Amino acid sequence: MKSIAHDARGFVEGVVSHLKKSDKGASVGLKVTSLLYKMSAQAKKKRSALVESAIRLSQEEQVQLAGILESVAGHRVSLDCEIKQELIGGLRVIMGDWVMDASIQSQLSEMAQLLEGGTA
Amino acid sequence: MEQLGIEPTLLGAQVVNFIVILFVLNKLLYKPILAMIEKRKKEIARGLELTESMKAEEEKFLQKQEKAMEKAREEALKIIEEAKKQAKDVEKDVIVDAHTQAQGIIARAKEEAQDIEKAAQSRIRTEAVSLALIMSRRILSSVMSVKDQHAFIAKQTKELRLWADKQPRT
Repeated sequence: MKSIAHDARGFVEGVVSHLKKSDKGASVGLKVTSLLYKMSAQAKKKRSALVESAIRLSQEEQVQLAGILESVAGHRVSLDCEIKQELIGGLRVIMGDWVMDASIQSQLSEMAQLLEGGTA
Repeated sequence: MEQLGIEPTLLGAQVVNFIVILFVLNKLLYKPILAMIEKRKKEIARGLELTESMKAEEEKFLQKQEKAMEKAREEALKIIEEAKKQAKDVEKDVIVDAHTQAQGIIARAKEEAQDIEKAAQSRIRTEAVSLALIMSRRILSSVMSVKDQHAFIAKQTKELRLWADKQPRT
């Protein structure tokens, strides 16, 4: 019981600590590149991508994101932006069967799974 | 003879009478009695012989009976000893079985207790983590400003750009 309570308290403190570090410019959560895998041919054929975020993306952010996806797909890609508060922070990009989920929600879920597995 | 008061005729007649009587008695009384006595003697002797033989038979029978009793006693003792031995063996087997069963029951009970403990720990852990997750979401949602959000997205976009640059161009 004590260890579990300690785990839970540590979990919250760890997340808050990460957040404080982000204010100082340090890395927040897992690196996006570690979440990515090669985009499939089927995904590259898609002309649009679904972009989910906790806040509304600025025009500049949308242009940057579209540019990145176009450079990989090799053609114009339009973005369908959706606001999802439950993501808390970060992005989730879905293009066909290719998914890049770098939201804080997914990172929290991963940490929760680690704790539930007793490995944390 | 006459002077002595004995009449020869009478004496002769008495002698003849005596002889006749002796003959008659001999014929009709002594011989049958003697024959009967002899027969009786023989019967008694046969009876005695029979008694002796019966005694001998009885003795033999008693000896046989004694032997049979002795044998039966030995057999009974053997059976009792064998039964005792078997009972001991059965007792040992029963004790071993009971011990084995008891060990099995204890082991199963331990396993069940461990399973219950693990399940309880897992449930508590899940609930604690779930609670921590809710707390973290609330804290992060309240702490992260719009500026933080955009900074976070800018960082992710930058990393995405690095990844895209490494991808083969189509």
